[in-house]
Amino acid sequence: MEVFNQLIYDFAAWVDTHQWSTALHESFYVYNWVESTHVVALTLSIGMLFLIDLRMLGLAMVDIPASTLARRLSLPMFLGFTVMIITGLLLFYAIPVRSAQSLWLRIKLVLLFAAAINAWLFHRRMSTAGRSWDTAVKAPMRLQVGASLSITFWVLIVICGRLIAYDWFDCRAEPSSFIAALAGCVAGQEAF
Amino acid sequence: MGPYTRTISVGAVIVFGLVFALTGARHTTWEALLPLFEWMETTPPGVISQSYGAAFALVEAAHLIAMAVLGGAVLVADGRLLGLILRDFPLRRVLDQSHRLFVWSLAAMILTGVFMACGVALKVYYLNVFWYKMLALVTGVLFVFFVRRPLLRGDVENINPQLLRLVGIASLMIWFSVAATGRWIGFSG
Amino acid sequence: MKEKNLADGNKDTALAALLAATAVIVGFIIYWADEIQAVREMLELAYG
Repeated sequence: MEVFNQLIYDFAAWVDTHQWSTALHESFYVYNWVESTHVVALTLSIGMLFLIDLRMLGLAMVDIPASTLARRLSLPMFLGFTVMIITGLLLFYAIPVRSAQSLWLRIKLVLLFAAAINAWLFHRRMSTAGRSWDTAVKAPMRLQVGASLSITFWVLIVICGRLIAYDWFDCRAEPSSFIAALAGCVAGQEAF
Repeated sequence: MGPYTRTISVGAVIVFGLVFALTGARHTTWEALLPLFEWMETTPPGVISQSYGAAFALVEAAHLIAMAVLGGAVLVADGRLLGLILRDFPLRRVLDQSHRLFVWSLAAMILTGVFMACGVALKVYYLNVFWYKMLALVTGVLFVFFVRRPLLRGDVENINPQLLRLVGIASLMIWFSVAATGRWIGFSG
Repeated sequence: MKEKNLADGNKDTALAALLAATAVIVGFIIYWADEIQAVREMLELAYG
């Protein structure tokens, strides 16, 4: 774990030395625009995803065949996720050390990974589930479970994303050793 | 009431809005609202927000999630109006279903928004961009419930497609403005 | 008579929509053009 954390810190501290990183961080408007795009693109990425999930649970857009809705909204959804990833990387790039050692960002990344696996499993199940349930209000139980997990993961992801800005567990604030280990604080680190 | 009641009402609102914006009425109204905003900070939501940063953050996260759903509903409905998405599905169906989702998410946004405003009432009171957001929000709500919904609840198939497109574009513009000015509030002060 | 009322009502709703949508679009363009101009001025001040 310590080796892992040291590696991450070294990488982040190295990125921190980049001129563009500093420029982005200290920019008058650009950082704010990147962050705003990241937030507003939520409507495109998880907006579409939630519509699909709610359809699977029979809670929205029930007049439209479920798999059709999923297929049609996929393109804007993936466009949205692409924007999220690019802006997310830029946000990391601007403030690498604090981000890399952010407990909330770390949890968020784990959740993102879990959500991706869930999405992949869901997609596989949907492809093999046939079309008989397409016009029914609710999708088959396994797909409903997948949709519920999806909503849960993404709600938690948004919450974690929002909490990154709070400095309760920042390394600079000298948290408890348990938190410090999870967050990857390195003893005697100079960059923050 | 005459045959063009709705049109006249819209015209009246526009005229009223212009008069309000271009005269001292704006400032006078703003000053009159100060007691309300001072009171907001003393309400339970206000006190909770100020005492527990985590509570405020959670409500804000809920606000963002509702925004995602509302944005999704708006994008699907207006995308359909503009002929960009779900083209082979009846306009009526897509619009009705999106509207229901829209109403629920709007309610959630207003509830969470009021909660947050109570927490930072005096801060936002003095922020220009907050008032622009409120203006955009009120315009959006009036537009949806007084103009757009009545139009689209009727016989959509016989409405001029150009008008439908115009309504779709206007709708996207309003809700984009609400989102953008909303996000801007987060950067100010 | 009822059909005429209905037709008039539809015309009214359509005209109201046209008026409102146009007002919104014009307002949007004016507001955001102004904001972009303000941003430009700020950037000029900041970076020269």
